Amino acid sequence: MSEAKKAPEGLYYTKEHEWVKLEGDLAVVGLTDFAQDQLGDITYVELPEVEAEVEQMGEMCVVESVKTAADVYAPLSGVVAEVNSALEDAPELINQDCYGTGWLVKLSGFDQAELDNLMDAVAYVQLMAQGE
Amino acid sequence: MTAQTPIHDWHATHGGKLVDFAGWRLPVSYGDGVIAEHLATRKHGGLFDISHMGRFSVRGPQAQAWLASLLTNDPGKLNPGRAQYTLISNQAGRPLDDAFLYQQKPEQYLLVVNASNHDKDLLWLQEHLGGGVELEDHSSRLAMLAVQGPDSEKLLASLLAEPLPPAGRNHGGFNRLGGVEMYVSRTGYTGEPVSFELFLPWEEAEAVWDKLAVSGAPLGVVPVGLGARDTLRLEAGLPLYGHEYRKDRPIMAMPTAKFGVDLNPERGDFQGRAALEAQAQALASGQYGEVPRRVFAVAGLAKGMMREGSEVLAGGRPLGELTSGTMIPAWQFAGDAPGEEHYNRPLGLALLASNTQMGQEVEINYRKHALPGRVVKSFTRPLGRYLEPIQFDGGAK
Repeated sequence: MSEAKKAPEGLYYTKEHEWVKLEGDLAVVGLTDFAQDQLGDITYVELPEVEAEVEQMGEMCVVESVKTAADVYAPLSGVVAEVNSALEDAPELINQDCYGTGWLVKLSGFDQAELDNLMDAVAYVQLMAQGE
Repeated sequence: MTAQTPIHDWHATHGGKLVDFAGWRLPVSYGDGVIAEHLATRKHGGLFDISHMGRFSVRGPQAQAWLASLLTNDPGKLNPGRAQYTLISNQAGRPLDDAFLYQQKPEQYLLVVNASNHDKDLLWLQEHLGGGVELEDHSSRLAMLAVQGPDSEKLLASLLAEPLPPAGRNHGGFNRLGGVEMYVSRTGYTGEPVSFELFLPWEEAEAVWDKLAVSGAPLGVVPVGLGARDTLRLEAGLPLYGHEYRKDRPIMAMPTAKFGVDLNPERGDFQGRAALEAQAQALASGQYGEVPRRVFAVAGLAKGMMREGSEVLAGGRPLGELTSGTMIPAWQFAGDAPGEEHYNRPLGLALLASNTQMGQEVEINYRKHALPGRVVKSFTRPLGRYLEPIQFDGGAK
């Protein structure tokens, strides 16, 4: 697997293995390739309500795999503007395409300054390398 | 040190995600994942390497009588080429294991047990061994493969040298595939109406598996790992030792035990008989003394999750808890066959108060949520060569 697939450049990362991609006023959030690989086959995603308020590194949703349940944390404080409802019937999209069609939520109204608390791809990959 | 089945290297080089399971290195799934493998098995078919399971050869003039004294089902009902579900009970009517007994020849049987109980079962059988019986552990001499699902018959018919065993559950016979001698049985652990298990020499197993995989691919028959093996058995309402059966729980608490326990008076005594009769009597009387809780199928009726250990309540009153449970995929049927769309639904087996009624509306507590659910008879029903998911109406709010 290429490094680019593991942690694409241009995204922001948390140490809890969420990624953030800025798209205009929205922040798209998903799970990293490392996270989906660790979880194994994902069978259910409990998505947040649209318009729910989340806090940076507060619980945002739950991902269930064959093995376990994992809390997903909000990488940024903000409001849930959109959820990926395709995951309701096809949670395996997270395993198949975690940086694309397997995205989780889009946040609005977030604080740009909080991006400073996140890592870039290089720092995230280094963190994973230390953990392995 | 974990053991390897004869298919281990194939799994490792074909995308198998290998995990340790009951002392064996086995794939939990392959590239497409548990959901895809479950759905493929229901629509076309699945290949399972189940060589980790324990296989004991029992032979000799006293084989039948000895098995009849130690197993809950009556091997006297078998003939060569037939198999039966059975249990190994202790004197207290608690299970050492659940098992399948295959009669291959007049004085020759194979007893297949759970991998996790292999050592314990073998010791128990050896301790109770009688004359005129030859007991041998063939677990690493014979490999065991399962071919399950609607197109499994077409696949095997194209590869086997001899005709398939006669139609009908639990029928079997000797056969050959690519020159390899094997025993083929219409049995399995997926609930599929069309299903087969193959017993064959350990050293030939990988080549046979590869033939099955290559010939199965165009039919949509795919290799399936432990993850979907578990969701398939759960959707079919089949018990797993350590979950539904436990060494401290009455055997008759599991409803499918009745298919593996023969209390016919003409059969004579066997290990655990008196205790099992008391359990059966408790259930029949409606007093439930010996069996205060038993296993029921519980279907979730809304989006949500359930897992082993989740508490089950009715109107806030605790009924018991799940012994198995997870999200299970199902095909949307188009007429009498699976269509193109699938959905996921939470299903479980639960140990509940024995007086719980079929159709009872329940709540299943999982993490922060209470999922509405219902006690049901079954999650699936056979429909021709398919196993059709039964759909349940939405729960009462």
